[in-house]
Amino acid sequence: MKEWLDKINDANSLEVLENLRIETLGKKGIITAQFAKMKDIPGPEKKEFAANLNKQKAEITEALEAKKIVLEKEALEKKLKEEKIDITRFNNEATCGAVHPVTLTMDRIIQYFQNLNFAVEEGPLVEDDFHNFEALNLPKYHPARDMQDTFYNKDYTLLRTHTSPVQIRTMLGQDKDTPIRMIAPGTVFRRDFDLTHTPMFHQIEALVVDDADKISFANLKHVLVEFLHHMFGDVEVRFRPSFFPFTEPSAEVDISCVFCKGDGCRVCSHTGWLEVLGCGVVDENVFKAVGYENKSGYAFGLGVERFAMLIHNIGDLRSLFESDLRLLGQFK
Amino acid sequence: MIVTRSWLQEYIDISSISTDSICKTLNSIGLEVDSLEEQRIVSGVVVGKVLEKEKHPDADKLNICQVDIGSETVQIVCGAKNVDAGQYVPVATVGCNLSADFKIKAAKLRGVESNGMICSSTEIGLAKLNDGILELDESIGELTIGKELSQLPLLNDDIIEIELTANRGDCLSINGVARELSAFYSIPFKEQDNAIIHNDLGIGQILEVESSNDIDSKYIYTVANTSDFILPLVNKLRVGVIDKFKENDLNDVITYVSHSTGVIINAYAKKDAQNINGIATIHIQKDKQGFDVVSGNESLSTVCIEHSDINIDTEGEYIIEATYINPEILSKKVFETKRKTGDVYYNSSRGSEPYIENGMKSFCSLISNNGARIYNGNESYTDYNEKITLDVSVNKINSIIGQKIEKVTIEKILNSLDFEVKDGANGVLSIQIPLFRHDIKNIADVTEEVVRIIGIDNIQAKPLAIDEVNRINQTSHNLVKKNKLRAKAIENGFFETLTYVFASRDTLKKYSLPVVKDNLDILNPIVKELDTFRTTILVNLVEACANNSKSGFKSISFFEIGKIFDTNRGESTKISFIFSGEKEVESISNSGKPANIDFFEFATKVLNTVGKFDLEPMKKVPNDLVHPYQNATVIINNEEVGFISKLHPSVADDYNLSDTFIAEIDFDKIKNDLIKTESYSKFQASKKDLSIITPKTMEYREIKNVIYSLKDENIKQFNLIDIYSDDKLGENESLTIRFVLQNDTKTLEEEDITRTMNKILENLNTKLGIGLRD
Repeated sequence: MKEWLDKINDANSLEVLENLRIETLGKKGIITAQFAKMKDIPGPEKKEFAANLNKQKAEITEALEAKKIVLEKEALEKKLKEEKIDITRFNNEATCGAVHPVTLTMDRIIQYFQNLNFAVEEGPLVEDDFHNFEALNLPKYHPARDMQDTFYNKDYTLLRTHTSPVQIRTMLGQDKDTPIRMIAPGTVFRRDFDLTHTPMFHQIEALVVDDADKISFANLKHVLVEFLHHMFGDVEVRFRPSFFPFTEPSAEVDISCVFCKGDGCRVCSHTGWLEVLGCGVVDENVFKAVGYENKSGYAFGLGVERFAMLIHNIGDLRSLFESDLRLLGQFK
Repeated sequence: MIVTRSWLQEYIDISSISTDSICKTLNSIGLEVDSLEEQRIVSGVVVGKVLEKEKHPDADKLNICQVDIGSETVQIVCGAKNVDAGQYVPVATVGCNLSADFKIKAAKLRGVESNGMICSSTEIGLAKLNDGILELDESIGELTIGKELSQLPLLNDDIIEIELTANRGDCLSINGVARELSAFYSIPFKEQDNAIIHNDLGIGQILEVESSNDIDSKYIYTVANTSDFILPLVNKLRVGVIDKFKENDLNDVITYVSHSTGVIINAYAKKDAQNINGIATIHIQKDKQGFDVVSGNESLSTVCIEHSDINIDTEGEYIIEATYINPEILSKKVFETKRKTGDVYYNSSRGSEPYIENGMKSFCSLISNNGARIYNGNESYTDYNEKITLDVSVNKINSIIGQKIEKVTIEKILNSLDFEVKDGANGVLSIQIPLFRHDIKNIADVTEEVVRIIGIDNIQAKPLAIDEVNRINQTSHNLVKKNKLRAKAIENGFFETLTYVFASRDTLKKYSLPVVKDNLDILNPIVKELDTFRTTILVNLVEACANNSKSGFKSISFFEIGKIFDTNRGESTKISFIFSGEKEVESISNSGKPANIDFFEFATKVLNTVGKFDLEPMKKVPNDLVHPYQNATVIINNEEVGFISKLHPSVADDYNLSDTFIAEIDFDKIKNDLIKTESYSKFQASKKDLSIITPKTMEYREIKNVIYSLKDENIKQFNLIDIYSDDKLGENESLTIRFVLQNDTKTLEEEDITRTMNKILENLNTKLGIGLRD
């Protein structure tokens, strides 16, 4: 008996163990054979024989089962081991594409203002003089027209130099009594092509209009400071009075340089400040041009490329339009 | 606009204010500081006096000078032509570091000892005045021999460049900028010492000005003899700092005074005036286009529009002119007549200084104190009765700003800016605008003045309440769709591009692409490569691939959602795709040799991005980008919405690209509807394959149409899963189609399946004459 238990204990595979089971408990197994002898055992001894045999059977069954668990565990362990892979062979370069940094930035800005319940509006790229200039208080002889080098078409239309004509289209396209709270993201054009200018770029314009005395410069200041903190994090915001024909009072907005934290560096021309926005209270002449009376409002506009460059540390404006995977691939 | 600290100092006393503070103030009041340059002369450069000069024995161009530098007299060999005995000059002494890599050492020049260097203006960091050495004069301060030039404030100035907005012509002068600083710091203007040393002769004996009644100009004329006039060094250097130095004293003094006072000054040779009985006569009258023209013997200038170069008068007699015309009159007329304008127009159209007496006085004082003779009196026409008056409500100003500013504060600010303010009833102020502020026209302009002097930093930000309005519109819906398409395109490996909506007309024509009608095209394109509107995004994408292929990328894929134009310049939005070269990155799974993308894989990527569509063979190849035998029209909802194609191999050759595929689809036609689901069967589905022999010329859609025509509800789906051909099959090939069969109400029995499969075979046989492989 001990011999069989040792054999079971020494079994080194499930196969060997199964053979031992057959040799002991199988149809022709030794234990089974012992049971067959039972009928020949005389009455008085029968009881003890049976008890002894049952005990032996139980011992062997238990040993077989215990060993089976051990061997199964070993077998699984072996199988798992064989499935081992070298995960350091993983190539962590994603195989998806990427969104363009300018649209990415534009989306973030749009999302911010949509959360403030601003509508999003669009307009055509080819504009006329009225929507792009006249209605925005830029009469034909105005020296400020020099600021915007314009692409003209042969039929006297032009490529919009800013997204501001969308303001005019929105105001003209709706009931004058409906308050306005809108942004206009879009492509704009200036006839300028050098290190820091591309003939096409992107702007986002905002316009808020309500009844007279409802909208003030203080409101404008609030929305912009919050917005710039959202986009650039913990920066200082500075307003400088400036001039735009379509707003009065007007201001340009600077943030403390995101690269040198205001100490002065090449990017901020050693001023410590970066100009990022133009804004102002809507000029009365703009309201007049669209037939609005007794209104107040504010407007602001920003260049999306400038934001994208500052946020993503992109040094060359022109690289944004070169479709170069060495740049775009970094946005995966 | 350039101002310098010492120049400003002539108008207001800023000695107690740092330059940094001035810059900060200029920014905060709306005069943006572009740059600040601190001009400093290094130590070791001293005032020297040339005592003797003799020719170098062995070098024609060199002079040996004995120069008194206070502590000693040194011998310096100098190559400048203009060096001479008696001159006071800047001397860089031995040991002085003129610049980082230029230290002055004792040396021998062609055998002669030289102990120092006599410097030109640029060598000590000042503006260029001539080709030789700089001769010093007392205008820069007392010339004590041996004194360090770094100790002379006028030579160690802070130069501030301001970027002015188009409305602030009043700040195009030192006087104007000083006026602003005076208002901000409450520092009074200095009384200008404009003493003029006059000739005994009165102006009437020498000059007559005849002007017609209808002219727009205000003017003052006088006559000066400049034969003995020498412009002092300090003035020359300042003209050099503003980069307008011409090395001609009369021209330079005109530039100087104009920049200083803002008044437009001009001069004519007296001989060019008309001589009537010995009196120089000039006429001012309107020309045909309505511009004020000054003429003598012939036309001399168009006032404030174009001033020609000053002719030389051999006797040194010049008629001096100071003029002003309202800038709006000027710019309207110039716009209407498209008149050519000269340099002067930049200032005059933005608003030059209207109080021209100050300019003339300053000019006469400067030249008469430096050798010129001025005739007594002047001929003038000045009239300042054009000032406008505005009535503004203090409450209104406060409502624009969004903060209460006290009336007295507003009054004080406006007074400091030279506005005359009268306190009216009911909080209304009656404000008279100074002439030099022609940009102030309404209450908003006045508010802006208040805002900038108070400082925007001192205005409290106030949030605007959010009103609950549904502002979702078609544009918002399009944005959502655009972002969804973008996200899917990126998942499918495409990189987003943004390219110019311009194109090259030549390129469009070369590939038979539509071109915007000539009469609608761009009038003033910036470069030839971008001389028209794009009529497809695909050319940009092909070029993008070519550039990246050059930088070594082997698998290149882009998409762009953007505007294109039709021949009538109508705008529409497209989503365009390109995939060029290898279909995936090099990896273990492809042993580093990925296959090139093919049509179907590309089409699947596009499908995954834009959603369900069908492809049909193109009826007509639309342009030369399209491969004539690998192309398809994209159909959504039975409508043609774009195309997918292999890029024509000759175009690929033009751009050195390997296998490339393109697609362009109407953005507006892509659906973004909310999905409605259909009920689906829960019974067991069976898969059955059929391998059918078909002629290679037969389109698969013929087979599909036969199967569709059965309208068998048990056929849930079928796909081509294998194509086989060999020599034995010849002009035929074997297509294996896998069918998914399923019923909505029961599990299909073997006999149901056989019945359906037989029906398919029968129909393929009778309708197309094809069947199973024998």
